[in-house]
Amino acid sequence: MAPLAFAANRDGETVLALWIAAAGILATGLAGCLAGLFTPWLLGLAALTGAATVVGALWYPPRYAASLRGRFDGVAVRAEKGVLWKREIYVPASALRTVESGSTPLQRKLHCRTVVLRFAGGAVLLPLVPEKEAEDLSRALEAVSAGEEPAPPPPSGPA
Amino acid sequence: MFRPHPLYCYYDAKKWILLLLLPVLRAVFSPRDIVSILLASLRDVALAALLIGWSAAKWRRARYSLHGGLTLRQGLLYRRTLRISAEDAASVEMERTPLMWLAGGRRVRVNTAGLRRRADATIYLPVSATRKVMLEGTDRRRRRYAARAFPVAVMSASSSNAALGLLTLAPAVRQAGQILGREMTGEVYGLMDRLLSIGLPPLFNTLTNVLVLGWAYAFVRTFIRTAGFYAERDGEQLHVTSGLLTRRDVYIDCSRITALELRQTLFMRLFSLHTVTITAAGYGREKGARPLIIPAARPRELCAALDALLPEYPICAGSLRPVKSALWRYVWPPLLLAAGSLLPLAFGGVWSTLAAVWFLAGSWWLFIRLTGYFRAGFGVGRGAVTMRYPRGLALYEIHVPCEVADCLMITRSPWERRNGTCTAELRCFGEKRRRHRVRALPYEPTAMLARRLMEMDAAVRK
Repeated sequence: MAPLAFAANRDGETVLALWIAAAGILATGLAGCLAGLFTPWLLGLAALTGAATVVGALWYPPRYAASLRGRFDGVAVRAEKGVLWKREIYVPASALRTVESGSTPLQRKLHCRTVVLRFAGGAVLLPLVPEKEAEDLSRALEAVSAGEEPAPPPPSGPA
Repeated sequence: MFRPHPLYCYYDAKKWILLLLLPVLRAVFSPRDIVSILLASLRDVALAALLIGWSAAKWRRARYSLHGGLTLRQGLLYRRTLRISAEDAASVEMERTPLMWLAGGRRVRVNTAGLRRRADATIYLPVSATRKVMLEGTDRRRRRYAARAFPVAVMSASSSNAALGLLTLAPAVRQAGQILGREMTGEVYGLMDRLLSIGLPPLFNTLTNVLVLGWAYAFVRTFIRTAGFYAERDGEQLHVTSGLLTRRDVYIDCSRITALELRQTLFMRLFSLHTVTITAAGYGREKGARPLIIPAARPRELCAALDALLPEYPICAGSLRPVKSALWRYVWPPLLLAAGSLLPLAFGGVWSTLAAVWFLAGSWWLFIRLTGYFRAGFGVGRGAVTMRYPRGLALYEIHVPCEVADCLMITRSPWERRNGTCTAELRCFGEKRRRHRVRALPYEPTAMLARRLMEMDAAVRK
């Protein structure tokens, strides 16, 4: 079969940026509350958290999205991810027990999914995979586990 | 369908039997007149009797059958029928405690390849019935390995690093107690402080005794569990027997063995001994159990035993070694720990003893990491993956057949990218969910081996 490639796109980047922004705003708010309750010195911590959030939300997502890519060639799923700690993953298709694909409301809105590859020794998460590529990957892996030749992905474009 | 052995009642009701102690405790801690004690006792005893009666009723309704596997029906309110076919049983464990020996019963645990924390079925059978459950042997010649007493004793002495640590800590604690007692007597003037200084040496002596007794307990427990160990290969089955008081017989389907692990602590290294464990569905699932097939053996004995027990098991050499410049990555944590001992040394006095123990612990770890660096390796070939690495206070070597290597991860931190190295991590099925990791391997050859593993895996599965 022709290798089935997948990679995160701009939508995935947006999802990650929004998650980091939400977590950062929550942490900054919490630090601000603690400053109000205990000592104004903690405002420094709030400022630091805020700055880290801005940097994290702007700097990290594009790099993470660019690093997340992989392919399935009918034998194994090979994926790469990580910005500072680069991780290469090799999972033989025959080792897979289940393939799970899930999405949060935000991911559904932005058409991306998290694919979870479960095998006897654990699981591997492939977050921010575009919806269509995630579906193609799940379908191909299901076909291989059923002992069939994976069907070619349907042509993209409006139905 | 047959009824299980009456021991079922005892083991089911065991947790309630402690309730019978309540009247005794009440009489000791809350002494009142005899009538009120008796009335209160009646209530406790009635409750315990009710619960024990419940277990007896469960036993009366429980039924089992051994046709083509195990069918077990039990429960009063929630009636459960469990069926495990003979083909699905990955391992069968038969246990005989002294009580079971007297009562003529056995506890049989049947495990399948599921990921449950406990056995899939536990049943109490009379001795005659256990012969049916235990997989019948073939007429072929059996190959056997029996562990010798001395290596088993060494293994028991060092099987728990914590226990060995307690033993080495004991003299230091006694020494600290004596120094503290001597120094404080000379320096303190208050009555309370003087009394305290007199009381310190006995306190530390007691602590020393507790440490030594703790180690002795761990040693005796492991020795009793492992003594009389022998493993026998009979066709496709591996039969492992061990235990001095509680005898355990485990039958494992060899085709279900997914990993072979060699373990060596520093203490065992002094005697050139290795412990070999396996990963097989179900075996070693119970708390505290270790799936041993060779408790302790020297290299020559080990090779002979593996040839006898698992001759067809794929093994390859760990040819890829960590790069030379990565020695520092292996030794810096123990060096840091050992350097930390300078801190208490600066205070002097009783702290010197603590510094000595601290330094000893750091050096111990350093020696293991150093040995681990020189032994570490990763290899793929001849249908297997091999990894050798140090973890905690022991050295490990694992051999996994290609078809059960579920996932290989290559991780590269920023400094590893700078010097062209990586960390290889292998994940495969195991009851303990352990990950095997070799650090500081050269990146390009590791990636090549990963690709080779995928190709071999595909070829083997086809």
